[in-house]
Amino acid sequence: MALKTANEFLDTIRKMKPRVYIGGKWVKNLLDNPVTRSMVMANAAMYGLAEDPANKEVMVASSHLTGEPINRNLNVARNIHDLDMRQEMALLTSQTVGTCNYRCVGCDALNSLAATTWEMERDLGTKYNERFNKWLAYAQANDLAVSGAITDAKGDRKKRPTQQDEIDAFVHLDEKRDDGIVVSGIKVSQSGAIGSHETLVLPGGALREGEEQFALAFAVQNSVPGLTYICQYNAYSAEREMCGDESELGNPIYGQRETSTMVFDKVFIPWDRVFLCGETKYCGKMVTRFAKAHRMNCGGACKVGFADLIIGGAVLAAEYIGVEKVPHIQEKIIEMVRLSETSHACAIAAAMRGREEPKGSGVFLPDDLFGNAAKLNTAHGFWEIIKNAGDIGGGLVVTMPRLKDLEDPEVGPALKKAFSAAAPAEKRLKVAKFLQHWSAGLHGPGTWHGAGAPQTQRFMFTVLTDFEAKKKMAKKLMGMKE
Amino acid sequence: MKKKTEKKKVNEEKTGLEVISVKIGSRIPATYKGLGGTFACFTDSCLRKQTLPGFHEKGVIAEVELKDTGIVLCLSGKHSAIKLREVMDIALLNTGAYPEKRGKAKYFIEVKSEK
Repeated sequence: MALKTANEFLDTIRKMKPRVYIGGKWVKNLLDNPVTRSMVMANAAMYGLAEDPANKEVMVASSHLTGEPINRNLNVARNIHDLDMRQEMALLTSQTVGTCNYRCVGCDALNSLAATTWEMERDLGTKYNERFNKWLAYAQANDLAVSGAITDAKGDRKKRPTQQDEIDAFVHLDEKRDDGIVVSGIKVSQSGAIGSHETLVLPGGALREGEEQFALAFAVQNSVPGLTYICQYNAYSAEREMCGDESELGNPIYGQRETSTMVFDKVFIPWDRVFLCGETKYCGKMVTRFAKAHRMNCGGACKVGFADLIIGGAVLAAEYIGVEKVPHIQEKIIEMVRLSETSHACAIAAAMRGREEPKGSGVFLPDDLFGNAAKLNTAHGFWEIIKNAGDIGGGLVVTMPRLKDLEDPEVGPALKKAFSAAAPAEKRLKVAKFLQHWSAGLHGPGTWHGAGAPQTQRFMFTVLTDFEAKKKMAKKLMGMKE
Repeated sequence: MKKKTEKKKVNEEKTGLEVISVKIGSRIPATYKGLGGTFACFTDSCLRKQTLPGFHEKGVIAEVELKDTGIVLCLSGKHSAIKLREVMDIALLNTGAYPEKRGKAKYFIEVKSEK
């Protein structure tokens, strides 16, 4: 069976017992805790989308290993169409859940692994690609939810991994055995691993000779002994735990974006799951290829889906108070559309200009420059979009009472008088809460940093742009001699 | 019939999968299939981490012994065969092995409870 339904996915998750800590408590069952449940339900929605025949072209692909239909989240892009459908999947999934597709990082990580393990097998004669393909076929056959962990805790940024006072600041090798390796260390800001079956762990960045113990890539099951997830905890987590009725919340079912700190304490990884061990030269390539894919998808297309939701909410908020035809409101909404569609155009361009990398591998990756442009444009544009949403939504977005208070016999009548406008108070408060979720929530910094903080894209612009060629063409037009 | 079994074994090796049978008492009530290294992962959990995958706390295992191509586990406390099967189902699933009807087992896990 290559495609699971949402219910079949939930059945497997009920039996998964990762070691998860959130807000002072250990979570026994991910579906019992309202915060962890929101993450699991978002993952279930990814399976649900693939069930719908209307989404087949976007959500379902053919495995290049077996020819079987598979969820696109487990697909290795083999051509431009695959890349285009991948970015369309990022758009569709974020429009649907208003939070992460928690299988997204895993998808981009496995594409990087497909390319880089192939290259290592060609250059070094390793068995990593063969192993990786076996793992991928197994993941596809069981339609596993796979997340990805890249960012190490990193410690003191002035120091290399070997110089850190705390070695666990980077995931590292403890021991090499006949049957596998033992690893320790910490990955941070990891999206959705708790509710996935497996996580692909990649190096956090380029490494140098002498840093072999940090050069690791592997797949790990989510509840393997020694692995602990410490979940993020914030005002939104507390609100979800305390509200008693999740329909009150800005994103009732799927919540904010949920991440965790993954602590590896002498975790055993069998060789069949190890895809890089000690080859420092390939770490930079592995991370760069991941970033290429992730900037088009997470950095670009995904946030266009968020913007669609925010724009929809802002238009409703304007209509509910009767200002939808006011020129400056229309101008702000058009500005939101401009920013969003520019990012979408960059993501599509990144897909369309994608190419096989490395040559002969059969793996297609997006164009680096357009992917970085998608992400950088989004990073700056998203603040503008949520600023405009907050502007159009008005102060009510952050000053509103609870929705439930409208039903209170003592204060409800006054609140209904206060907030009824061109629409009933219930609708106004509902949309205000929705805009609060976006404009005063976690998505601003999340979008800024997700797929790499903007400084990394600026750096890539300097690397990828041929400034000499540009100078030359300017000089030629001016008639300037050397 | 014999030919089919051999063919299956070859395919499993080619795909890098391994089949594990779980014995409770004299019966073989369940078979699981996982990626290569699944059995190694399971035994590492029992021997080095002293726990079953998905259970985390120590004290679940009273005794553990490696035997040829298998492992013999005695779980703490008194449990029915049905309970033992439930526990193993969770432990195997949390090791990345899924129930499988076919396939020749390369490894076995024998489970019993304290008397």
